[in-house]
Amino acid sequence: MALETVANYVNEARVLLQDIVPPYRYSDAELVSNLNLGIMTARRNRPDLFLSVSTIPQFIVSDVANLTLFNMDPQYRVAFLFFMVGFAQLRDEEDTQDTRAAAFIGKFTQQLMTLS
Amino acid sequence: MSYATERLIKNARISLPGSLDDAILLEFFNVMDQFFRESSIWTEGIPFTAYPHEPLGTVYYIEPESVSTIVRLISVSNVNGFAQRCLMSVPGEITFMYSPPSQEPDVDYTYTAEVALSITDPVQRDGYPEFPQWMLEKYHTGILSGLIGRMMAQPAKPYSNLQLAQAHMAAFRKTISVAGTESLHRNVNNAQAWVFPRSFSTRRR
Repeated sequence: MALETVANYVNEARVLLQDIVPPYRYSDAELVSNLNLGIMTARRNRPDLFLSVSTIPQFIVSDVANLTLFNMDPQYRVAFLFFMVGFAQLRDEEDTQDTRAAAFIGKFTQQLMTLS
Repeated sequence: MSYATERLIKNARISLPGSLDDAILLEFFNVMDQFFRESSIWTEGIPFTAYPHEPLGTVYYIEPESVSTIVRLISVSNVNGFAQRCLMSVPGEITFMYSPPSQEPDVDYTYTAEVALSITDPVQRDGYPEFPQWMLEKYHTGILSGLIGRMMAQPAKPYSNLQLAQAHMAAFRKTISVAGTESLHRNVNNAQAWVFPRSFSTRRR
């Protein structure tokens, strides 16, 4: 199944960010950090996503190479991917990137909270 | 997990897009707990022994055989089936309102407390609470309404819908009421809840 490991998320995020050829514009550490921030935000909006764990999962850059699993319900995996991409693009200063970042982060919230 | 439970969860998933099985399971426990507590449909007779020489106010401890928690005392009867006047201020602790009546020396001092039960922890390995399955099969649609209603009443979820939640909860409350009445009549159509003559069966001896 797609999007099972932290590495899967990082690789898929690179596709959407058009950053698949090294040297990378966005480092693995940055993208993993974005995933962690997405998890923290999701915990606030949807605590039921983390019913089976006592503390929310947080990852480090070595989890990419170690193929560490990110145990998330398949219905919500894409939402986390959108957050990672959106948050990465927030750092860009170009106007077009700002719009894209807002769209991705909005999509993340939308998928967590609403039917669409 | 029984077929009836599996069908219930599948039905709930269809009506609750974006819901998580863990969340459904949590609410399933709440729904079944409310159903049993308010309907008194799940009962069990628990035997205990009380001797006439024991002082008034003696506490007799009872514990159900099934994995369950005691909700309320329905009745206490002696070996001859005569009702005794008892209280249960704390679930599982029975006291007589009068001293247990003296009986012949060789008679059995065993009494039976009929209690209403509800689900409790520990649940089964798959996370589902234990209870008699026929109750879920009989009141399946009403319990499903309760489950969907509680889920839809949760705030800020893809499946949140206060209007539908109210409709489902009304259907659930009706099911609880029907189950309680049918339980009183022991599932016999048009049956009366007591045996004639009523004063004979309830009179203290």
